[in-house]
Amino acid sequence: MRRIHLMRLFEYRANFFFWSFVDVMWTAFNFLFFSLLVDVTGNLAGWSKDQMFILLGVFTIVDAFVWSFFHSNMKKFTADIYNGDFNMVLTKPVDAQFWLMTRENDYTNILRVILGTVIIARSLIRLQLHPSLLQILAFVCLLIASLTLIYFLWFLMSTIAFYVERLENINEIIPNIERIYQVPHQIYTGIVSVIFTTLVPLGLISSVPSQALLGNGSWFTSLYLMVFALILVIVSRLFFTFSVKRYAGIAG
Amino acid sequence: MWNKYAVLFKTYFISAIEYRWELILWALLTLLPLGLMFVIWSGIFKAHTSALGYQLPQIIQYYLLVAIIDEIVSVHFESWRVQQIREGKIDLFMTWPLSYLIDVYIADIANKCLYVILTFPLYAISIVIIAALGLLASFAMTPLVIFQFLLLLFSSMIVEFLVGLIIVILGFWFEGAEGLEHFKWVSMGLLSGWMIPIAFMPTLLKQLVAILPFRYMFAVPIGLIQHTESFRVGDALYQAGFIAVLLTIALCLWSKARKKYGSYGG
Repeated sequence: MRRIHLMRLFEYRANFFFWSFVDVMWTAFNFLFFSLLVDVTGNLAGWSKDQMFILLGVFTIVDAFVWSFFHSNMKKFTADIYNGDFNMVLTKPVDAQFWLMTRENDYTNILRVILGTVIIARSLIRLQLHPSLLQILAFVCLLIASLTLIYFLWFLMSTIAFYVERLENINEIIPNIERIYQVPHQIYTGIVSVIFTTLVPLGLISSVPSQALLGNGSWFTSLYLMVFALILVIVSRLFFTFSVKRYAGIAG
Repeated sequence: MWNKYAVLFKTYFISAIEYRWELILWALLTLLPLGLMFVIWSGIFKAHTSALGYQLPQIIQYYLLVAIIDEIVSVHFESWRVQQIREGKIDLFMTWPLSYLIDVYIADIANKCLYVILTFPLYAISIVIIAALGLLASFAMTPLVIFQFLLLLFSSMIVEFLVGLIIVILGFWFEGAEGLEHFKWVSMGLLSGWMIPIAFMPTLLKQLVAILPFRYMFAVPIGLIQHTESFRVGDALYQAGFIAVLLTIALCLWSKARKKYGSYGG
């Protein structure tokens, strides 16, 4: 399936390179904004410029996955429900949720993953930090937990499409709230901190994996992120299975 | 003569309110990034009382005005209009008694009217709440400032529309013309003061912003209200000249595009 998507992508090479350029441009835009901010204020919630660049590098990798694998799949998921084409998903000889997760892929964001990784490495060198194997392993696990959290939260919201007549812009919620995990979670205080680090821990998505690399993370927060992601997987599965029963497709 | 435009406006307006839950969600999604910006800047100003002459109330006022101006001036028709052209679905518009460009304009105005009606009460409530928290700078304005602000708002609407229109017309030649929409967002977002106040930019970027006409879209109108910018006759002529150039480009491209267009069957 992925090979087919890759072949389709390279069918129009100019289009691929153009969209890769656009994606890199957005990445540069984000880095510029926070660079200007930290240049003026000195730090952001106690994070220095290089530490912020590590966080933004993690955010860039996360965002690349969001736009490569999540956005197009979720858009197609809700569109199929509204158009009555969801029958084709349910009649496939694979698990419906698995099919919904993997059928659409866009690899124009590959460059952003590479860019994010390079920026993280460069910032670690500038900070004279040498993460141990355990730290790198923790980083990878926490990155996977972060991606899992975003994806299954998005899936949970998109499943609401079974209950309303049309709500295609439900897929715009996650892209519109990405700023939450573009900044260190220490910036949030009071009730906002409770919402973004405990109730719906989006604020931890980029911060916690970054802190694993920086060596100043908290075991409790890291564990909380992973457990929350796991709970979300179970809840979204149950909600999807329950909601599918409401679906009535059209013939054809 | 105006009846056909009124009918077109009414049709697009009705079409826009067909799915109400989507409208409510769009209105909320408009406020969400603004709320997040406030949270971030509040966090920054916990450690600093001011930054480059801006205190928290001025920054909040700045981004509130950015959001309101953006609501009025920004256009979002590039991607689906380009798709419409690439799929050969504008045959109908070529046979209508009014130009496809006018149709694009009226559709944009109708959608804008609806979203302004939806979101402005929410902005008004936000202003009341922020003012009650003592976090909003004053909006004291003279009649001249109000006039200049409205003039800049109108010219910004025209600039955004013309840039969007040029992108749409380029769809006659380029497969991925809608990607230029992103290029527009990034470049105009940076150079107009949408992303960050000009005072926060490095010297080189400030010089570039001073030369280009995009600052009249956000930085200058907001600066008029915050008493950090001025708007003279020379500025007005510069902006008018820029609009004239954009209009000329759009009309020339449209003239060539019409001759190039071909669709089959249907």
